[in-house]
Amino acid sequence: MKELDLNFSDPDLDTFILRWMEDGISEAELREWRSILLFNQQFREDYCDFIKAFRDPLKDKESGSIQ
Amino acid sequence: MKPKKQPSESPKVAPWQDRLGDDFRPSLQKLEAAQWNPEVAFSLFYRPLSEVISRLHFNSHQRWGLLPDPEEIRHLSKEFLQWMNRAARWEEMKSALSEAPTNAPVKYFLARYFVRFQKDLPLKGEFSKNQPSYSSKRSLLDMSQASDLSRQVAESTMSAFASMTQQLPQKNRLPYDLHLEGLLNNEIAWIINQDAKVVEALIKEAKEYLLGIASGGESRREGT
Repeated sequence: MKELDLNFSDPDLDTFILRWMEDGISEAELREWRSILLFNQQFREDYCDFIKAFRDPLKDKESGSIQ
Repeated sequence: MKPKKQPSESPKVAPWQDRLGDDFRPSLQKLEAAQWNPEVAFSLFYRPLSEVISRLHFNSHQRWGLLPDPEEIRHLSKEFLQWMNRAARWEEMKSALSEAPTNAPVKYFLARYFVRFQKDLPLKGEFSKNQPSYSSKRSLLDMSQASDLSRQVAESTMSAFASMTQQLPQKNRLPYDLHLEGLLNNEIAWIINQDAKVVEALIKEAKEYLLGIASGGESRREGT
């Protein structure tokens, strides 16, 4: 399997996420995805910011404190 | 990456997907009928775009309880739509949409393309994302607000904390890193394809593990 080499602004990330939404991904890809998030700090930060940007403001209040 | 249809237990709906709003495919069709026209595009997409821009470009404003200037949003919307047209990204987006699952709203694509547009924007003012990266620990302190001295102190604290979290078992480290980034448990659960209860337990374990390391250090100091 081709290794996942995701850049946050790259269209490949769109393809990957949309495929995940539609069909799911393999266990191997899931392991690689976790590994990217674990070791690619900038990617993790950008991706988390992207997700948080769509969060309902109410959820921020519900999320509680960050330790 | 080749498309691969392998069914798994992965949830189909992203935790933020239900907040992306309506499907704007009808608007796309209208735009198609009218040919490309920046004014038509602006009138059709201003509403979803203004939300995308408020949340992605003016994220720092929201953090401080400020409302972005509507004029600035309008200006950025127009700039973005022109950028889309200049680089033929409009055609690219339409093509991606035609292959996308029906539960992927146009707003998702607008947001993803806006991220790319941002990369081409010159950094502007204090709300630009021009701060250095501080790993997942940045959410503990708002580094952009720190003075030089407190930034130096904070950096040492962050480094010490980062070296401690790196000692976490791998299964706990990723959920805990994402937790420190400020994601909610259900969002972490989707991202790493785990049950939310498992995520909660892994974070709890990570905290206990770190507490153990910290109190071990305390004991050693007390013993000396």
